Amino acid sequence: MEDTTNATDSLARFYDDMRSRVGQRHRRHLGVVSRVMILRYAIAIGETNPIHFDEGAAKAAGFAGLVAPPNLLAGIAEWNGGLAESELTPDGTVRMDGTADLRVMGAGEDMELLQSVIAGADIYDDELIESVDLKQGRSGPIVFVTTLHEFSGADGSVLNRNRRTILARV
Amino acid sequence: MTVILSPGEPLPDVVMVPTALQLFRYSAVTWNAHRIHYDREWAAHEGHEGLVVHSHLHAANALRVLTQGLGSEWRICKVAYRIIRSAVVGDTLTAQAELIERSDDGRTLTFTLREVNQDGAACLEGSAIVEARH
Repeated sequence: MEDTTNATDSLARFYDDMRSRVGQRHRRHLGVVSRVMILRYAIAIGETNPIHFDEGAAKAAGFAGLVAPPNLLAGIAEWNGGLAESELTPDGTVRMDGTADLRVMGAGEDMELLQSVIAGADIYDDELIESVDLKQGRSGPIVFVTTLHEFSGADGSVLNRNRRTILARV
Repeated sequence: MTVILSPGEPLPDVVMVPTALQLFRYSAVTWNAHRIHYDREWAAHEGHEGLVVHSHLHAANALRVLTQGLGSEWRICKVAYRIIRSAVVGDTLTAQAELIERSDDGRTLTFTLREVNQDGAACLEGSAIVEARH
């Protein structure tokens, strides 16, 4: 991070690239929300409600099966194998070429949780980059990218509609 | 389904003290390879004081106030949150939810959400709407 000139160029590249993608929509098949995925996610976040651990308890509470915690779909960073280590940027993320020296973090999210997500759900994601904004922060310029994710089941019904904002800075 | 809460009253807080093990497991289950969450040297290289708590883990902590405080008879319908400040392993993150509005029929509740660190500084701020399931 010492070479801020290069990093500033990277931020400009990132901004231009993301701006060029505004309005583009991509549909991806993410895969099945498995029982193990729900169990592990619930344990990792410290959940204790049995509807996330015990199918019988979930059904007794009126659900069709084991229930995913509310932000599981939002929290999964990679649904499939992902890239080989040699293809990731040095910070371990997936990034466009020439922007590896930026710092990127989640900044917030607006979520509409339209239906509970039940183990076995086969998930699709319609992704749309809605806005890219350059703002001046206390320690320099920051690029905010807001992306709409519509997570739907195999029958096309929308489960979650999430607007996620990430920030990138030098 | 009855909630004995009036506007202005909170649900019980949920306290999370994230550990390196927790962040590793959250990274693993979400297949999130970002090194700021599990590589202390890299996190320091990026200027962080420790391993950085995932933004979605902050949110999960805040949502636990609702899921644990209200139980399965209620469903979270909408959530909006912003990460105000990052947190690291060892911080004490207290998630809070306060009822700010209840619909006339009592079936829709609106809460403010907040997560503060051990110094009382906000890490997350937001709001949520929950509805009765039955």
